[in-house]
Amino acid sequence: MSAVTASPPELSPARLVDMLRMMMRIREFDQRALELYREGVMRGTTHPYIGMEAVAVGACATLRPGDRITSTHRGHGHCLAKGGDPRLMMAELLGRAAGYCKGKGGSMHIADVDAGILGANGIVGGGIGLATGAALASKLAGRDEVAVCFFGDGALNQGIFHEAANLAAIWRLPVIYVCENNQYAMSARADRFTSVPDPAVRADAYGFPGGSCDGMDALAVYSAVGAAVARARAGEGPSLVVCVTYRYLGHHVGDPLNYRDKAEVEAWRAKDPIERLRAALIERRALTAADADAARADVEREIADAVAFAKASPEPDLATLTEDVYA
Amino acid sequence: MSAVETQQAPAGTRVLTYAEALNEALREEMRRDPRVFVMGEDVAVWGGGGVFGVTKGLVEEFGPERIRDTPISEEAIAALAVGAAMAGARPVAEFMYADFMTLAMEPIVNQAAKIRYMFGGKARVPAVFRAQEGAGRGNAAQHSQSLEAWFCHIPGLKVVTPSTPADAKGLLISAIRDDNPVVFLEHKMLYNTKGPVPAGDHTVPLGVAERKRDGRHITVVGVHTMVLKALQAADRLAAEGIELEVIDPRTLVPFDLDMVVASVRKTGRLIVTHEAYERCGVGAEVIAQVVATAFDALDAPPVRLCGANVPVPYSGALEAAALPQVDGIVAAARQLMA
Amino acid sequence: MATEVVLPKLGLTQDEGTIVRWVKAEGSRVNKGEPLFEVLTDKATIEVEAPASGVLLRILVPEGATAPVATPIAVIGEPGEHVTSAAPHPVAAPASRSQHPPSAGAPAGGAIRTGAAGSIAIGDGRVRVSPRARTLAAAHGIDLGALRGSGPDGRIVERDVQRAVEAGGTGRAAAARHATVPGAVGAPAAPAAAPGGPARPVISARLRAIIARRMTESLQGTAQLTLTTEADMAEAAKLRDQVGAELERRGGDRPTYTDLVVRAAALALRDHPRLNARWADDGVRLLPDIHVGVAVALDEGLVVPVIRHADRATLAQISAALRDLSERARTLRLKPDEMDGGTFTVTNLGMYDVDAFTPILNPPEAAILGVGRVHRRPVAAGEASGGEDRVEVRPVMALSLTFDHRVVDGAPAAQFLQRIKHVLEHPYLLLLP
Repeated sequence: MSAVTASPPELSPARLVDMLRMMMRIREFDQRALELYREGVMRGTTHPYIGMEAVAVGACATLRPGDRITSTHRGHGHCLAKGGDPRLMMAELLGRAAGYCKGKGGSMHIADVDAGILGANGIVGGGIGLATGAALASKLAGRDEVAVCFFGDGALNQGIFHEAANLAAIWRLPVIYVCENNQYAMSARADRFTSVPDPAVRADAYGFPGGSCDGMDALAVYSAVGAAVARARAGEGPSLVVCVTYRYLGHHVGDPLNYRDKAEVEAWRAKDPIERLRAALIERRALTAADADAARADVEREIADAVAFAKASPEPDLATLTEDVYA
Repeated sequence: MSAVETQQAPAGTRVLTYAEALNEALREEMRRDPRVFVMGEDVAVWGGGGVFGVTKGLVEEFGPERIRDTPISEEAIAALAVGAAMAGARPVAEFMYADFMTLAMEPIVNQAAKIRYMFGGKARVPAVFRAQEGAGRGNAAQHSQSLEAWFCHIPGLKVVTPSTPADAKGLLISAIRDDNPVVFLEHKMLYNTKGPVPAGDHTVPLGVAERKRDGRHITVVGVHTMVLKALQAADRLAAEGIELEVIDPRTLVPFDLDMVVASVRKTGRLIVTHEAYERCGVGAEVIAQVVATAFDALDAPPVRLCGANVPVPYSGALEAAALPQVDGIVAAARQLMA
Repeated sequence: MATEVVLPKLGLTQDEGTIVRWVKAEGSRVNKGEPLFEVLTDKATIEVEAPASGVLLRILVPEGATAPVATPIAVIGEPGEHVTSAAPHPVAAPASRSQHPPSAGAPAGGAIRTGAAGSIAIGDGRVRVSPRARTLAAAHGIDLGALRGSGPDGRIVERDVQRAVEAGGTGRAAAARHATVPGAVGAPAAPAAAPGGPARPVISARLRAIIARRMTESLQGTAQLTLTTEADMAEAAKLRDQVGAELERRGGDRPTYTDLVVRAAALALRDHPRLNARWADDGVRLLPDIHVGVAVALDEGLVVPVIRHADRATLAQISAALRDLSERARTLRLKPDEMDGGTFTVTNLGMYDVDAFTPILNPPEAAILGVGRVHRRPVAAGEASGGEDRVEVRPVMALSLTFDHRVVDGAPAAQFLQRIKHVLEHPYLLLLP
């Protein structure tokens, strides 16, 4: 297995604090989304990203504004980390006219194409081809943009992963496949349905680098994805980065969670990515405990404001039903 | 063969084959717009440009980056086209046979068709999905289907079915310039048909049908080869005093209902004919819309002449029996006039 | 589970019926108890209710066609349900149309079906008029029922209507009325404009046949003869004006002379029960109730709605009932029991300036009273009061009583007629219970 070895740029203390704040924001956002769902304010379902914040934040910290990501059904974290506006996201969760998608997409289809967010995706693996195609467009246009494709361990076994990985390899496309191995595809443990213990070896089959990193550590993710991004930007082609992580909660609200132990959850929670970065930053004297508490309070206010904004936004006009089917 | 083949080219046109006309459209659009690129199986190397010669010579002019041979990965071809289109390119993805598009339905149906709507109108997917369909060459069940109804069913897709070289060029240019995902379906038996094709920038708007022949008695709406067969039937029936008015919708989505209804108001009789399977086919949709819009204009129940509801068979005799033919149109017309 | 709708037996003597109108179109939703179709029996046009709720999947017997009692005529079920009794039962096609047997190979559902070879098969017995032909006919007031369809399976198509237009078929008002057709899109199979719909001429033929049979039977099967007399209607006219003014004040209508005669006849029947009788195999049978029928002329023929217990009805009640019955008779909307069970009939031709005539008995009744016009003429007067003979101009009305001599003899019949005359000349009797 070839590993990615190049190192990304060193992060300044201010960037690190921003990353911590972003992880807090993501967690607070998904907490509030769950509450809204339970209050009956939100429709459909919501797939909480809680526990996995280090992956989105570490990976997106490597990107430039012109770079693109594709996301998944569990997409709030990616969207926020790539610069999504929590107010427009929350309004979309509530199906309101002011939402990112004017209330037509909901939690699973939040997108901000101008910000490089090519959308959450309701189809498992649905973003893999899109990210690869976006990378192709960048390459054809001669731009040094990259595309980061987030997907879960469940998508590893979709045909599109293999077709796209092969294409990205032969065409040396600037795409980084970031597999969030959160251990479960709904009830299915990753080792039950994936033919190899470490999915990163699948990159070998397509002749590009693959490696795993600690997905509970934002800095480890930053480092691993950063190396892959540098490689892609240099025109050397795709990489696969498997981030080993865990979703603390169920697949979505209402998951019976009969397929895993409480002890297992507790063990993962002990490695909490937010606490981990917070402790590391305090230790580095990048921030104080009081700063961290203040940051959390800021984030709580920010998300409360997003909820208020969403609730104040009107329902979509019924006349918009048939709008935007075609350009 | 067809009536158009013997036509002289009017001023400003040349007689080209359908395949050449498509080739010209791709060439002109790629010259005009650097964002346009072609990808598909065997579009560059094979025979100098595609199994049916549609991309012939393009790789020489535009290079292998923009005329991009792909592995046999239909889902990825479609999905990459969608992603590239979202990221600012204007891909023309080719599927060697429309039958193979069944492997690419996820990105076409769930992604391309829905992205604009799902994202609240804030995204565009200007991708063209080209394929050839249809029977007539003994390619049997997995290489002869006409699957346009699959795509017509999906909101967000446009569906184009040219029947003449001029329309092939004009519609393909319009499809490439369109900001929506367009499923552009050619017909394998039409590639070698010839007709006058305007030189230079020739576009045919999507959603505008063409009356290929005027007639007073029966409106015939045909798709692809059935337009040509309807014209042949019209020649034969003219001798009996039965006049067919032949309409080629050219695009099935959007559909030019107005022209069809105007014609039915004149004739009172309607035949819709396509090679695609009859059941839940486009003919059913066209008839439903005409009946709902112009019931009072009908002097006889509308008739469908469609592909039999069987997998397309291999044997020449069976294949011909599975497809609507000129004789069938003639017979149906006579019965409508009986 | 689909429910088969059968042609109901609506009368003891009925063995077949003609579908006058389908109230619901094929494919429309019907609720149990809603009017579904109208059938013409040997006596009446009857509205029949849907026996089940669901969708009217198929109409097996079209408007204008005649079928035996208990024939399946339609199927009610759920959308998409397979219609097992799809094969239409043989029915007599409307006389004015060419007959086409249903093709055996027709697909269930009866719709046009075209195979790859382009052959067309059509499979049911519906009256066929193209929507385009209907529209054109409506625009020109053409009676579709009078046309012969030249299209496939006898369908009336545009050219048939065009020919009629060219032949000057825009014609008379009555034709235009009959040709009223639905113009609304979405009600394809519902010629909802009936009673003026295309089936009406068919009814005409059918009703004619019934009348012909019954009148012939009457003349051939009874021993009838006619007595005539005249009634002085001066007092009756006065009463009619007085009562009429009062009824109008109450929002009612002025009674007609027929109303007066019906009341008079009912009272006279009470006094002369031998006329309220019928001939049976075992002799004369006196009837306990007095039900007076009144002949109503239609374009198509004659119907006789019945006023039940006419002897117990006031003049105003008779007047109102008769007005209602005649109106519904003209629109073929009478129920069968409204034309059933008469024990005596009144028929009035006075409006046509007829004096006396010889009505034909309406079997099995024993008598029928013909009413002539009320007309003013010189009458020898005075002798009754013992004064000098003089000539007065009086309004007189001829009364013609036809009776069955098997049931009653001349003298009692004459006494009965005399009693009617007396009541009409002393019309206060009309107002007594």
